[in-house]
Amino acid sequence: MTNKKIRWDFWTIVTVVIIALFALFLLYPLISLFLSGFKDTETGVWTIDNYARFFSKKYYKSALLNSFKLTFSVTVAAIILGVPLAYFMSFYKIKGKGALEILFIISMMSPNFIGAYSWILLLGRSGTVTQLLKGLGIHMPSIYGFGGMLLVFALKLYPFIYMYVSGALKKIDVALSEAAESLGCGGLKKVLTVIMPLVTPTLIAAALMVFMNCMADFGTPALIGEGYRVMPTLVYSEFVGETGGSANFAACMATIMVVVTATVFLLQKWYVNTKSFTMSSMRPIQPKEAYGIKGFFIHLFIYLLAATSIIPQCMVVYTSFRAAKMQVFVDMSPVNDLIVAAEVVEDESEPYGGIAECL
Amino acid sequence: MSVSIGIDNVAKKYGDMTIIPDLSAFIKNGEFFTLLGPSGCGKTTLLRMIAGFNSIEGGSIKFDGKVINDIPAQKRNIGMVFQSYAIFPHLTVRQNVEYGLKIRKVPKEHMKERVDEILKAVKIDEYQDRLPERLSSGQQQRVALARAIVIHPHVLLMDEPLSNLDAKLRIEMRSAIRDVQKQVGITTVYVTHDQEEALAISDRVAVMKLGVIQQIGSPRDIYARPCNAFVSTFIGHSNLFFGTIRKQGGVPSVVFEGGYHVEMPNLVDTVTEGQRVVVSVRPEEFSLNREGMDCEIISRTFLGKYTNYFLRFGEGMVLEDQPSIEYSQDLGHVDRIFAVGEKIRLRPNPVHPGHGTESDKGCEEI
Repeated sequence: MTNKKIRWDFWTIVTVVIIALFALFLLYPLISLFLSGFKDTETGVWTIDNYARFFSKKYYKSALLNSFKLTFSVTVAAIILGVPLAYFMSFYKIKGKGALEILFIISMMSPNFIGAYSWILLLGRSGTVTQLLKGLGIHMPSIYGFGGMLLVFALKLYPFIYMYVSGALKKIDVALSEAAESLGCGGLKKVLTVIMPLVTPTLIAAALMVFMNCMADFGTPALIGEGYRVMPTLVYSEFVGETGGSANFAACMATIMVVVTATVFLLQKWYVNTKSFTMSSMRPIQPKEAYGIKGFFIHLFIYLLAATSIIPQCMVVYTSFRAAKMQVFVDMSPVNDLIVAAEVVEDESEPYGGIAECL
Repeated sequence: MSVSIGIDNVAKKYGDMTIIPDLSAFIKNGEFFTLLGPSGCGKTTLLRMIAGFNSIEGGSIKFDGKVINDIPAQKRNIGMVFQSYAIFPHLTVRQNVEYGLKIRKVPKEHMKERVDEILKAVKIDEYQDRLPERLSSGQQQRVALARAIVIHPHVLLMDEPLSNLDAKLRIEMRSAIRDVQKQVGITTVYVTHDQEEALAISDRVAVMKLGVIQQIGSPRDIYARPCNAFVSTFIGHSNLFFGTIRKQGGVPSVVFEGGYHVEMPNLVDTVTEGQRVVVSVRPEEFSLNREGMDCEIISRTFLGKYTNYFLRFGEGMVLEDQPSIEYSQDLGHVDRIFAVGEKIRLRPNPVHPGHGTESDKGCEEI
């Protein structure tokens, strides 16, 4: 291998093309973003003012903190929903398992903000449920802000945890579980000391997916966040803002987000590397019957979760058959609904009302 | 500490499928008891019923006379060694061994003492801080054994623990297991499909087929006096001949097809004159004799200490669906090695040299 001269064969070309694509679509935007953050908007000279401004103003710092708070809470909530779900689905015979699995996948398959949109239609200020309860004299707490985002994100992202952890549980040899039992350890203690540690590396990887997804999402906070400022909305308003917006300052904030996510990613990688071990499953776990009160609650949990997660999708389908004039639904006959709905979609002045449903 | 295991009319069913119809056995306190049989004979199923991982559909299993049918596995105080070892991959060797003691809330100092002791006994104390994936399979096996024994279980259950090891390590480990078991003096139920392993390691062996115990006995009894054709062919190799009982005259004898007859003074009394039987003859129980039965050598295998000849006997003399008819020639006492195609005369020995009065042939009614 002393000959350093490059031989031009097919694979060299493939390598060069891949590197070029990588540079063009990944490195170039990242680097230009990074550099742009160090420029003054008016004069174009190099400066660190943007960063100084970000870290000196509570307004900006609080958005970063909010992003962290939200993302962290969402990740924890997604784990709390996803891990028991994966455990129950893998260890017990659940009635309608196949259909449920499809529901969980479907509930993932749409942009996050569709969830926000649907929940607003249900629980928003003039949402269906809110109006219904108002008629009964019950006042719902506001869905806007932190709580709403937590609801939307958690219900949207826990399937990631569920899918990853289910995959890991499938690789566990049932003998490990039996070994714990033979040593006198059963029930929850067995789950905590044997099953959970074995899926932890996978769980961390899944949690990272949730973290990144939530951290970077713009649509949901834009729709349902209202006063709760997070980084993506701040970057957006800075970038397109009509008053005092600065693309360079936006780039600075975007860079901060990139650094944050990259750090979290590296931490996860480091953790998984220190904890890595190989598992070979000779006999995978066989689901067993869930009897009695325990079985009832397991089924209740799963069905409720599936039902709640699929609500946004149902809402979208339902509203797509309702006609809207500007952002207000009007009552019409079904046939007219479709026609009007189609017209509404064509009407580009209609921002959220009609388009979203037909995505 | 250790207990006896009573298995009374136990049955195992999966839906309509019956794995074990009705099985009884008694395993003495401190005994090394082996369940031996081909795959699918229900031996592992029975072991897992004793462990508590399989439900019991009929009859009962007792530890020291106490029925344990409804006690969950984690409360039976059993030590189990799995075929896949099932060592916790996220814990070090030491943590693996400590696991059961921690569950039992054994005090720290006492725990350290017990763990140190057992790690030494199974010779893995130098690897105690390693993660299992950095151990060889033999070492993993030792960890599994240490982890099962350290909790001082009532019974030690082993499910084909050596089947994933190479031949040499298997022999080494089997004496290690035997030594540790005798040292601790714990009732052990061992499952294997390897008859040589079963003979080498056990106090008593139960040979199983289709969920039924065919024979229970010491390794020597099982080998030397198999109770039926299945046991005789499963344990070691056996050549099965057709024969007829003749009781007239003084000594009872067996007449082979073709007229050759062997006097067998030790036949059981239940056989009757003229009864058709199957006679099993071990390959090493033939001897060359001018008066013997004619046969032809169809091939041979050199195996170091002896040569195995594959034989063909006359029409209708032997049972048809046998994989081979073999004669082992001990190379220590041999005049010459025969060639393929040569015709020789062999005589089955009626009395096993080391056995005095016992016959070396198992007879079964047809």
